[in-house]
Amino acid sequence: MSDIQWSPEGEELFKKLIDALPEQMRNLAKPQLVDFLKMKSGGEPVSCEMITGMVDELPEPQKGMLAQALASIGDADDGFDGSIVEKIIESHPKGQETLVAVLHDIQARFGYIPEGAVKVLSQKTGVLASTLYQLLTSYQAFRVEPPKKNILTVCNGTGCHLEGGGGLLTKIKEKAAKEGADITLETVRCLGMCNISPALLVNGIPYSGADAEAQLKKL
Amino acid sequence: MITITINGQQVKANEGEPLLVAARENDIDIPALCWNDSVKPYGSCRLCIVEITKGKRTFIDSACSYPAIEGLSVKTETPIVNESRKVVLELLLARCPEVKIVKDLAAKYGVTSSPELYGTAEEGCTLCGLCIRACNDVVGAGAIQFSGKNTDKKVSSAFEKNAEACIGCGSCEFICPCNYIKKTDTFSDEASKREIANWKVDLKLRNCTVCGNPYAPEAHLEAIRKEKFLPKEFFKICPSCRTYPEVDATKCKGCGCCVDICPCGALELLDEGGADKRAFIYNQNCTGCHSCELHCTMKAIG
Amino acid sequence: MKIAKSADLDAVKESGQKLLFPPGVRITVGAAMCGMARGSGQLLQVINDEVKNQGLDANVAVVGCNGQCYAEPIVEVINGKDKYTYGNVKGSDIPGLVKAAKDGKAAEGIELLDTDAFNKNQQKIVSKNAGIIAPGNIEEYIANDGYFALAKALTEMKPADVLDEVMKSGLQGRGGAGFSAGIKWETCSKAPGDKKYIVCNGSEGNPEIGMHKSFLESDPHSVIEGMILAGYAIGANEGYVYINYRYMLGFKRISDALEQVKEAGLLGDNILGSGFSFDIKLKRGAGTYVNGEATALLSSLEGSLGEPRLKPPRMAEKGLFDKPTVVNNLETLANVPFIIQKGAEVFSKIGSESSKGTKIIAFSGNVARPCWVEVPFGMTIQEIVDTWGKGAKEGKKIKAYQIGGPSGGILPGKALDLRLDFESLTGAGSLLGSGGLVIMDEDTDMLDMAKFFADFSAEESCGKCTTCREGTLRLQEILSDIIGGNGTEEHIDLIKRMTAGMAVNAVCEFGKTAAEPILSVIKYFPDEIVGKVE
Repeated sequence: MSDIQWSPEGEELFKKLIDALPEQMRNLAKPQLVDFLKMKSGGEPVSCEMITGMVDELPEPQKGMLAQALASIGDADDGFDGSIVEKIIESHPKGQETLVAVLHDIQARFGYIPEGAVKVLSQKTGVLASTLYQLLTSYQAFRVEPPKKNILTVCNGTGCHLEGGGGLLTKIKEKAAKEGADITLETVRCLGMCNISPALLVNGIPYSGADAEAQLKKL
Repeated sequence: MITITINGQQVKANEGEPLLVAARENDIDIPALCWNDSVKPYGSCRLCIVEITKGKRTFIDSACSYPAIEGLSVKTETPIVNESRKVVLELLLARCPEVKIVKDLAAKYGVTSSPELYGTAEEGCTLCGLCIRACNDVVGAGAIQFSGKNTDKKVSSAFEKNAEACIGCGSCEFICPCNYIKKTDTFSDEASKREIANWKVDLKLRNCTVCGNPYAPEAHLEAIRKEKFLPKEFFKICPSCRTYPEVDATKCKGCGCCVDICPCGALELLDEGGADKRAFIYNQNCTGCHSCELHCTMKAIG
Repeated sequence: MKIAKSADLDAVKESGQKLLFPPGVRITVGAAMCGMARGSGQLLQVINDEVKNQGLDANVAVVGCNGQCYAEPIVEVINGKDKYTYGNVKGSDIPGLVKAAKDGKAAEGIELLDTDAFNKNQQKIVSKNAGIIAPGNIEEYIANDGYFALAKALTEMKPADVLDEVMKSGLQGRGGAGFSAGIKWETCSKAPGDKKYIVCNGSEGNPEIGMHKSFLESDPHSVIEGMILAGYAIGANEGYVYINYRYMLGFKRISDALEQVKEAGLLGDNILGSGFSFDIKLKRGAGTYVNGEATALLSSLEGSLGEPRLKPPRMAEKGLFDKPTVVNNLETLANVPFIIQKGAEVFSKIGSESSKGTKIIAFSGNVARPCWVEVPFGMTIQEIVDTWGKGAKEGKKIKAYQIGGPSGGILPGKALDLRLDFESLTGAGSLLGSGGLVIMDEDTDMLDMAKFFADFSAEESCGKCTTCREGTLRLQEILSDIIGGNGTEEHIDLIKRMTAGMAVNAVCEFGKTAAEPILSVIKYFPDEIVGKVE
């Protein structure tokens, strides 16, 4: 960490960013991100732009995780930056058939689909805003609200239900509904992890129901 | 024309037209809620289901979407069809117990109330989607769409906010069979407006420059004007005030003042051979502002 | 690596075999979703480090799942002729495991799996590579005769011959109702128009079908090869693979595979110099159950809302972008290379009188051993459950089971003697669906299951048609009433009357069959309802 230079704002943003990451990822991700920034900055002081720009260059799943963290910091994306959406649109072939893919990418970048992004998308593609809103609200994959810090994906498939998934889901629902709970709860019909049922993902990492208890307490 | 059989009666139909149309043209009634001949069929209400026999196969499908094909045999009221239609009406009645068209249709088929075991709702909308199709396919505005799925489905504008694409034409209100869409025009000296509460829009009405009365939403008039490439002034005057000036050919000297002054380009000097030129008014472009009349030094227009 | 003519395949096969059977040691780590769930990702890291530390000359490969999900993470060591398959491997086992591999013997203290016994009585057609080859390496697929069927078709057969072969094989769709693949293809190939599409449906959202995707994660090339063959047969030059957005791993594997196969020239213009061109686009769904319904899937592919379309027109005449389209399930397509390579006759000898070939069956629920297998049609469900699933957990009795998703209803334990084929399951009022086999043990509250499925259909209904949208909501209410102890005969009568109406007039199969689970509980487990009904 010795030879990396920070601009004051950059250093602060980076600190916030690390804090906004899910707890179990922090220690793992921090040195990697520092290395990446070190390489990118080439001795220059690391600015806020470099940090936000880093998100676009990283591979999944880091990209999604960081984008979410950035979105949760809030001020980084407050003044909605339409140019990011424009860039995403340009990276796909034209035509309505790529809409879903574009929306997936927008969500990967922001953690959800901001209203501003829909406006830009509508202007650039000519697809009506009402139609886009229909897609967003009827497809499970898309969120129209920013996600909370922790995303719990609970399997609500038949197999997991039989293995106690129903009870687990009720418990998590209660927890997520509590005031101050920083949890976005999502259910999914089958994660393909029937061998650890009841299965759930805590910030993308799979757990079996029983093992998840300890994780859940930490949140 | 082709021949199909409906309820044992041979009828003529246009090939490919929906069975519903073929039946109604022959005075055979099939109930439907989400059907209107100005828009594409959507097949969501499921009231128009009929039993269709095509070759060896007999099946049930919606008459609004199934095309007339030579030799088809259709039965509109078999026991299964009637029973299933009743189930749909009970479900609709449970959702919209106060909607008149639902109550009327249900009563017609012997359903007076939804089963007691059903919970009830007080929805005013059956989600037939006619308003959406009218807005998209006929008007071309696309201000509203369905959002959400399952029973959360509703008709809404983007993000359920003010529908920016709405031009206030009122087609949605006109086509809605349930009287669910509320359009209110308010008139005042300062600013008359049209509100459609469902889409959270509040649009300014344009006042006629002649009678001063508000007559249509600005946005609607602008949309038509742009679509038809009409001049800016075209909708200044309401249709009832619009009178078209005429050129008195005996007085017109062909000076062309009127052509220059016409805001809509509705006038042209026509060459009548020799040195004679006469002003001519194209009514389809004329808004009836009578500027030409005021400017004509020869008093040839009136 | 470029494969421009059939002969190039042989060279690649040779080099691929060196990967599968290297002079040194090959260590494979099972990393499909089931393996990932048990931490095979981290394990791989540990193995790589340890191999380096101990200076072992080993080819460490990431493979898919061989079906034994219950024993994940699975690490296999292939050392010349010896093969050791370890199950439930922990990070702390690795130093010993690598040391043993170096010494050419079995490691002590780690569970050894008997894969031969597990594979016995299975018939692996579509899953022959699963858990063996690295899905990320096309050479390994070719080493196991991959793309040889394609070469054969393009060089020796006319499109009509390929179609004919599939028709003769009796291959039926593996996604649901078991419609003949041959007839589907023929209708589309005869439909007028020069632009046609093949669509691979990987979007089934059945609530028990995830593990079934292990097979996509394990061998994406077999699906791709099947698609190209299908395209050749019906005269299509473009295909779409549609994957549920939740199957990130499957998506990534097939996306990598597509890249490789394009680079190799087996996908693109003028494949193997035959003059036939084919391209495949990969699309990620956005998750609604109804997207599994083929017409809704097409709408979704076009970028509009995934709602079922009204028929006619049929998809084979007017499908994707209004062009003739064949929609096949993943597993159906993966059968095609085998049929072309070995011939329809060999294929049609496998299976039962009415259903040809094999089926992947994936266990979940209260099963003792969650796993998946590929078995020939005609076996009884009992045999499959006893042999591989090993009954219910803790030796409990099996009270009921479900095959074919919610639309197939629930079958009672005494119906385990049903044969696995389209005819016998349909005869029993169920359907084969995608082959998710959910075991429910003696403690299962069947009313709770009925409620679970009612909640499922009420939530997943797209809301387009009155019957499905309102009907599933009312079913939920009536069931809650019964569970709350307020049930009367009237409740049951109403359920029956209403669901009969739903079954005939909903727009798509989802709505038509939404009530199946409840009806089967009423039919097979009346006692559990009687207790709750006055």
